[in-house]
Amino acid sequence: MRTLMWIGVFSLFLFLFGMFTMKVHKPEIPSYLKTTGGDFQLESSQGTIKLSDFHGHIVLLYFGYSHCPDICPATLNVMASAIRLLQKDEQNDVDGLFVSLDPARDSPDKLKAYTAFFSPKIIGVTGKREQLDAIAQQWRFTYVTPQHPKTTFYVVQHPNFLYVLNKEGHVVALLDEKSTPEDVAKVVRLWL
Amino acid sequence: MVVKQGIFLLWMIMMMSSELQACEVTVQHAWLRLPPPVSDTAAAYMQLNNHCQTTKQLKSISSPQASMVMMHHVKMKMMQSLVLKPQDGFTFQPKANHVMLMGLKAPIHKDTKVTLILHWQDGHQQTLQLEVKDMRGESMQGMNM
Ligand SMILES: [Cu+2]
Repeated sequence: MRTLMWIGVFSLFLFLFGMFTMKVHKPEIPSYLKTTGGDFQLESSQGTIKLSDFHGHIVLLYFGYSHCPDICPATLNVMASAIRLLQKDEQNDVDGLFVSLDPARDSPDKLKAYTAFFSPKIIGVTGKREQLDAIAQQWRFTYVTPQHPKTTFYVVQHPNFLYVLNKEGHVVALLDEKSTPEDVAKVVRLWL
Repeated sequence: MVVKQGIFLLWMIMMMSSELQACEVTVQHAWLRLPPPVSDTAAAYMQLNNHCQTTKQLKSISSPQASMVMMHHVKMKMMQSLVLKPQDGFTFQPKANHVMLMGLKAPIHKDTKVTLILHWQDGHQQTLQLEVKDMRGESMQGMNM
């Protein structure tokens, strides 16, 4: 009888300890992501925003442009739906960030209206070409925005993946366009 | 007798060629992704099937609602034209090949009538009505596209 009780207490202790360590210890950041990213400063409709302003929050980061008709709306829908899948208190610690690589056509005000269509949790920002070039290098992607387009109907080549940043602003996952809201929410929960 | 046969043959040929002319590529699930109100671009999707006995070539697409319409592969690579051999099909679908409408003349709403005109190589013009779908809150998984 006594032994049984001790076994019970011991397993309860093990269980609580397991719960505790699961909460505290985050997964390892894949090494190939450790040299990707860094702080940047861009313009939103509310003024200048630094990526480091989001410290303490999980950030879903996507680079695109508002004239992109297919993949950008699809990804922003996934981003918005993923955030909606979280509990209210979890949602408070998650933000979406949409960086336009097409500052010639995307003003911060236009981006505000554009991202608001998908979710109030997604903020639209952009900056000067030199700033965006520096970010592309830091964040290890390539993009092509025509310098002197003949018409306003030009296309921008941009990365197709979604970056997930932890509360310290480090890239912890890169998700491709096949990811569902459920996939994204699952990754976010690992880092909350 | 020979004259009669000749006329019959001629009639046969005429019937056959008009038959070939009349055969149209079928288009199913033609829809447009509801764009944000500030956006002047939108993407349309559809499923094309050539059940005709001849190869059909789609030269271009136009729309009264847009200044310019293009066919795009994934990553926005332009398609010059689309060749459909007999029994061939082609799908425009989200995050893949899409029809891109640029320079929308007015903001599109859920109940806007959006028309596409397919311009075929043989001069035939095929008019389509698109269903406008609000994709917010739709998980792209398992959608029939
Ligand atoms: Cu396109």
